[in-house]
Amino acid sequence: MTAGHMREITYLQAINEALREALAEDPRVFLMGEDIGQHGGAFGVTRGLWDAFGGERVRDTPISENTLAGAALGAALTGMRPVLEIMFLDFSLLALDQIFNEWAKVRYMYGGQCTAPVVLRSPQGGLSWKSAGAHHAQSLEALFVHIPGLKVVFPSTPYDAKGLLKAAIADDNPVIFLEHKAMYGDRGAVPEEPYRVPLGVADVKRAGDDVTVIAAGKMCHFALDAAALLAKEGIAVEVIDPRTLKPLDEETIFASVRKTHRAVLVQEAPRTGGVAAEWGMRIVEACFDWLDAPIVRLAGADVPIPYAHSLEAKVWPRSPDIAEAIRKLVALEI
Amino acid sequence: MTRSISTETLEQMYEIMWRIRRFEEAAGAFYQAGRVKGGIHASIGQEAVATGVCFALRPGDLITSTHRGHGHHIAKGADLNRLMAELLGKATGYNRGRGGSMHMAAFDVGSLGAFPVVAAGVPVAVGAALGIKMQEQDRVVVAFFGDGAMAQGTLHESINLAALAQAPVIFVCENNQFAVSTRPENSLAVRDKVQWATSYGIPAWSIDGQSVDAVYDTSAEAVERARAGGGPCFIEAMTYRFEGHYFGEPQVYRTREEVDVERRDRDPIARLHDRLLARGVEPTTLDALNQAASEAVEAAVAFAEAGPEPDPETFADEVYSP
Amino acid sequence: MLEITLPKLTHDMQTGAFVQWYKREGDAVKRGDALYAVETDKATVDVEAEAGGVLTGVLARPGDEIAIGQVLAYLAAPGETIETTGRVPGPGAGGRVVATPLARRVAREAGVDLRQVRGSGPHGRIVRADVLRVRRVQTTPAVGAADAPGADSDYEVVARSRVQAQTAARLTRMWQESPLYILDLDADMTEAIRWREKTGRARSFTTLLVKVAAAALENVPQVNSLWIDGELRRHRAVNVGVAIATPSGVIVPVIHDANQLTAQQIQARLAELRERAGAGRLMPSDLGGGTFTVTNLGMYGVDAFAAVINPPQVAILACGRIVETPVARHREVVIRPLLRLRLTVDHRALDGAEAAPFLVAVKDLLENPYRLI
Repeated sequence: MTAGHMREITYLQAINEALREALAEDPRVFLMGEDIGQHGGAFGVTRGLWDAFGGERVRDTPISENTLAGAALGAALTGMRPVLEIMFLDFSLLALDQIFNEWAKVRYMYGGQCTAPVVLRSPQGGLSWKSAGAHHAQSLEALFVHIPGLKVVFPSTPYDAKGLLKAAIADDNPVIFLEHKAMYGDRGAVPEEPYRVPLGVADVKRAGDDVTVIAAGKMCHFALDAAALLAKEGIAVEVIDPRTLKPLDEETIFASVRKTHRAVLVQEAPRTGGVAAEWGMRIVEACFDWLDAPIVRLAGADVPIPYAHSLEAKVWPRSPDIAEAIRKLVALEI
Repeated sequence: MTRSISTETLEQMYEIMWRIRRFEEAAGAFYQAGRVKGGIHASIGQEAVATGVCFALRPGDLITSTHRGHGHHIAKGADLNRLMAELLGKATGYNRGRGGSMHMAAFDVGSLGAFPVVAAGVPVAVGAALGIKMQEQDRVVVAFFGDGAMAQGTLHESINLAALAQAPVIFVCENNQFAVSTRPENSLAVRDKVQWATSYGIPAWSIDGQSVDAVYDTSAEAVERARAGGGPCFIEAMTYRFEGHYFGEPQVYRTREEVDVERRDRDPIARLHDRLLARGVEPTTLDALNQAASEAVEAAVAFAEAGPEPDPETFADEVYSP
Repeated sequence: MLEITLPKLTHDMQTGAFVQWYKREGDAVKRGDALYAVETDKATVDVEAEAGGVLTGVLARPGDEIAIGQVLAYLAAPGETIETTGRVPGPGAGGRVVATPLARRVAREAGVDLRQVRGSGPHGRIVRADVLRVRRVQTTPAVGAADAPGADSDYEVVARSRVQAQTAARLTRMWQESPLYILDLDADMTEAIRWREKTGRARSFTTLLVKVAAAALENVPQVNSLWIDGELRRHRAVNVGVAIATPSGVIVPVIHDANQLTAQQIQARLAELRERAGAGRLMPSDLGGGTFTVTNLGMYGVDAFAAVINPPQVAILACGRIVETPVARHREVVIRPLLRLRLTVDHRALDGAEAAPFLVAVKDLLENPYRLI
């Protein structure tokens, strides 16, 4: 962590600061997206940037996600470093042709003739944004993680959000920067000085010897809550936030599992085909002989996200679920 | 609007058009011989469009291409040897064997690459034009696409975005009459592309794509306009695809007679040949240009065949930039 | 058909390591026959048959880790047959060993046969801890254990017996949980030595200590208590345990109702317990029920030492050798044989004012043995 003066700001303010710094530092950086200009973005992430940098560099666009993604790539191919905001990650599905087929592949399929330094920023997830329903609260990180050529980032703290976004913008590869909309108001210490958090480096958010929990985004906080509860019961939980979902910092994860011999994987996204499955498989591949219990997975239900609160409450794992799973694991009930 | 194209320029165009045709004939021969496994989409019959447009461009101007993109690259000045080597999947190819026929790219001459997903290159061209504009460069971008792409939402979005931003991009629709097997009247509700494009508030022309002069003239005007800050415009070049959608495609959707008539009456190279003769160019000169194109392609084939296969160990290189 | 299950043999016992059967499948068994030996956290003990019958459906094998209540075999009426399907304990019995990858690796590296390990996980799955338990009771030292730096290590890991490991765990817990304090008092052993000489040294000081302690416990009953679940339970019976060193660790057999036994009876009982402990043939009843412990390292040349309480007891009396010491008597310095008595007390159960009278009583009785004998 950078030395220097720290202050408490929100996750949203941290992202805003990263964008502001990047715009000020590098004339090649520009922002584009729906309603990000004078309006400041649907969640207010870009608030004030249009005033500071003007409509050329903080570009309001029509609602044309796939074309925006393609245009971001085209600008990048001329030397720019675009940062595209898509209002809800759910809407990025309209842009997947460009993101999957072009962003991810141009460097490789053109034999290294170009780079694609583009960033997609987009909020995902549910949990506090009550009753957002099926098209405004999905967690879709696994789609992006699946595609070779993309990097995927999912910060869980203001500090990580700012540092990772700065690193993402400076990266010569396409980066999917996922923001958890339920964490925009979360506060945390952030240095006043510019800094970057390197992509592909996980963070041990809490150290412990008994069980390793891997969780990103909002789930990381639930895991930390569970760990604090279990500490009073004498169970020492290590919580690892991958921060970058791709490339995955395997070494940090493996070192932890080789220490604790037990892993609990938590994701907000639906269970099937998610990042937790990927984590678990990598652990099995690399740490099989260190495992003293089955790997446990907690995940969102395999259902579209419902509207009614009573239904929605059933969808996602929470900290008591995580704590209970860990208790059972430690008690040799799993 | 008629611009006076010098006879010398027309002769150069003549050779380039032959290069495109000979290149694709060589590609067809490789396909027939089983030397190339991937699909090859030939632009034989459409050479005047790529040539006429690209002759209106400067070296620093940019293009985005399509799955039917050999001609765009050759006309833009890409190295024939490296294009042919790429076709054969050699390490000496433009893309070092990672792209092949459908993913040609030649950044050294301004090709931002071929985008075989229909219309996918069009927003990229718009974005490149935005980048150029933001960097205050006097370059322009050409987006090549076919009539099939006209049905893609992305194309409409792209024209809308470019028109809003007054981006220096020229949309070039190569209407070769077939989206694979589907004729435009079966896939586009609005037959008149000019009406269609002008509804976005940009200039549009529909021209004879078999006349390289006409393509060049219109392109030059469009390019000049865009370069001067006049924003995007749209050109529909009416052309015809002499080959199937790809080499070996059965073509049940049209008769041999239809193709024969087109080849006989509307071959863009034959037309240019006649025009140059009318300008007083000696037949032997034209034969020599044709011969030079053939020799260049033969040399490219030799270069490509002599090139090494990519080292299998490099298969995962360059997925990511360091 | 009766199930033969493993009983809870000591207070802290959770599992036992099966040592051997004294009967074979098909043997007739009478009630009271020594049936099998099992190693508990305290010692290897023989367990008697609680009923008669024909030993059948033998499941437990030497080395098996067995939980309290787990079926070891069955006692059948003659001609009766048994269906054990579905109640087969342990993962080895079904042919397939169920073990975690880590347990397999540790077993492989430690040379432990997983078929000899009872799993504590769900459905009998063997986890690492199960393998480590078995590894500890193996007689050969395990060199280069699972987490050690490798085979070329410059040290060897010395196997601790089950008794030692359990003792360590129990006493560690006691040490961590209990606010202990220590009372010292010197006893003048002049009369005690005289008494012993008069018996022709047929009685040991340990015998005297047990006798004295039992009498003192009777007089100061609050020390004759157990601390269990936050309760101080004062016991009526005075059962004095004596720490005995054996090759597999310190064990504490108990002399029950020691306050009602003569010195001769105590001496005989001690001899019997020592012999059986050395042979690993203690019975469960030999080990259970202790309410107080004495420990004597005098024969090892120690002057004095503080012992760790044997939970759930609340105090332990430790003494070393008798030392010729100059002391003031009637304004003169004289040489007297002194024994340093050291009482370790759990403050949760007894405060100093409660414990001190006991130590004083012990001193008085040692200095005046004829009051007892």
